[in-house]
Amino acid sequence: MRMLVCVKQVPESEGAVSVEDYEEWIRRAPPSLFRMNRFDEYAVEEALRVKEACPDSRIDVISVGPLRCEAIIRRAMGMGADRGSHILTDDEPFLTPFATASWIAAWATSEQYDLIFAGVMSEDGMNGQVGPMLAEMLGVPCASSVVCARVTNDRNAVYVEREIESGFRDTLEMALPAVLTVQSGINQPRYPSLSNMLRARKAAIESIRADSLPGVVPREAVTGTSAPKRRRTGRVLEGSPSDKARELIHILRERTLVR
Amino acid sequence: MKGSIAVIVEHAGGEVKPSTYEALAAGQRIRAIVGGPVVLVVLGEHVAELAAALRDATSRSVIAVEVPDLVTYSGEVYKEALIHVFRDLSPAYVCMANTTQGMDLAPGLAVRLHAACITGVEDIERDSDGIYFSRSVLGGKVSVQARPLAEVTVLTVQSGAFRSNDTFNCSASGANRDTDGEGVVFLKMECVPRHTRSLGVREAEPKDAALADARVIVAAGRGVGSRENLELIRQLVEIFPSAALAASRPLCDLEWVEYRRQVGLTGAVVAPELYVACGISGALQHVVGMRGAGFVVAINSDPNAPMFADADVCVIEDLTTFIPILVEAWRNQRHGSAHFFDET
Repeated sequence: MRMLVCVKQVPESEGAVSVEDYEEWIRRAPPSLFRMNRFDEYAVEEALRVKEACPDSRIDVISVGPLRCEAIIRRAMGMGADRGSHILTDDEPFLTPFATASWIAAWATSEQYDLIFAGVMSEDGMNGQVGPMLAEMLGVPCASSVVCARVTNDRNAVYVEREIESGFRDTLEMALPAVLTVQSGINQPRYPSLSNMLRARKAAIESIRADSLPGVVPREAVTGTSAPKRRRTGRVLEGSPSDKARELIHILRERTLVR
Repeated sequence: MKGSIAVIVEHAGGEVKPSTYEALAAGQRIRAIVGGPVVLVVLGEHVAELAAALRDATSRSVIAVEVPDLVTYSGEVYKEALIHVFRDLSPAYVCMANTTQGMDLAPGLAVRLHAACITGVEDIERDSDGIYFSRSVLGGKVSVQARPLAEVTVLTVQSGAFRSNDTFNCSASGANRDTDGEGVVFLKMECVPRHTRSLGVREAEPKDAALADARVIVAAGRGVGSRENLELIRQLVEIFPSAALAASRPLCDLEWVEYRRQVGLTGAVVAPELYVACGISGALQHVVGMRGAGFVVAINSDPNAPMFADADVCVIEDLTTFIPILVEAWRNQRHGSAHFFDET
């Protein structure tokens, strides 16, 4: 089996973010603020599990983005991926999923992958488009929100379960090659091992400049950012933690919501 | 009908899914801005009655595409059939719900249509440069405005963002309907999937009845930090009457809390009298599961947490220090009020 995992580097979303000038903030953020998209960690892990079930498989990992993205390519190799490639772009916070998918497709066409994994979406862009677009560009089937994947014994197909709404799962079998976008919880991603990390640190990563690939005409553009709209009053309690606690109990007691 | 606005109908078991009407409401909004007829497109096996019911309920024209053996959604078949329908319809906008179906379908369809693809749309407005679409990034911390640069735009509509003014009740098994009436176009299409074989839909996680019945839901998110700290959340549950513990998806993925207690897009949709969000960042996928709550309290150490935009009361504190203080304050006040009653 030849497998490819598409990984993305995202900013740590739990931290403070400048809403007013998000793009500039991202450009200036230190590399330590970035990590692998969590959904992609599940995707790497799922590829590793397929490799364990199908010996003599190979896992390539690819990322599109600025220079700092190399860190997560090495991390994926630390988890056990065999080879890393990097499509190098300028530092553009709002690269369109269409551009990302087009470049990966241009690169992957000659590689003849059996199975391509991606996270169901990125935590920063939240578009959820690269995987399904890539499948369409390569002319192969795609299943999104995958929570279970089993390659058949003859290695010609994959059985998948897609998580759909209200606790249901859509089940299907897809002929290979195929693209799967992985939902969180499909597995428990492993930590990189020390020996793999040492190997990954020394490994050569193939770097391809995005502008050396066929040109992409964007089909949409982000033209502004703003703070999210408030949907409730959002009264902020002030004072010491004890003051806030007393105030909150008072508010809830007035509404007879506490015992 | 060049310049039309196509709305993809999502349905299962002869019933239209409510999210379809939110996609329709978004389509109407686009119509108000740029004009053009709104057309509903429904695909599947035996969809004639459903199409007629939709036309009656919405007063919009409906294209019913009869595809033998298409019982549940198939990305491959939907794309093939829609490309065929759109050759004549040539819509300028294609709207669908941002459900697992819409998220599966929209990007590939956009590639085939050479269209812009804008997912998770929460608002549609216009300015001097034309129409634009607002959507969330970075877990809901930032809202961005996206503009299409192509002639066709495929968009998915975030759940809860567009309220339909009308409540439709559409079901194929309803009244005896005149299926030959005006406003419904019937097409029949043989569409045999070449790469995929559907094996049906099955129930994986029964929902927790405790969440549906609870007056109060105390929900934990990634901010709890450790499995041990869940004990604090359990202590907080105790101070409320008829309360249940719930969690956001990351805690379920970590196996700290069972999936049946997950609130959000892929879990339970709840509407308790009180919702207490503890250490939940407030990503849209979670928030759409609890927007129906009567009163919302959010506790989070990050003042920029998007959860605060959906809260009535915001407590900016670390929950590991704050919850013990809160439980203590509750004890004291309770003791105090009991004492007060003793004296009177």
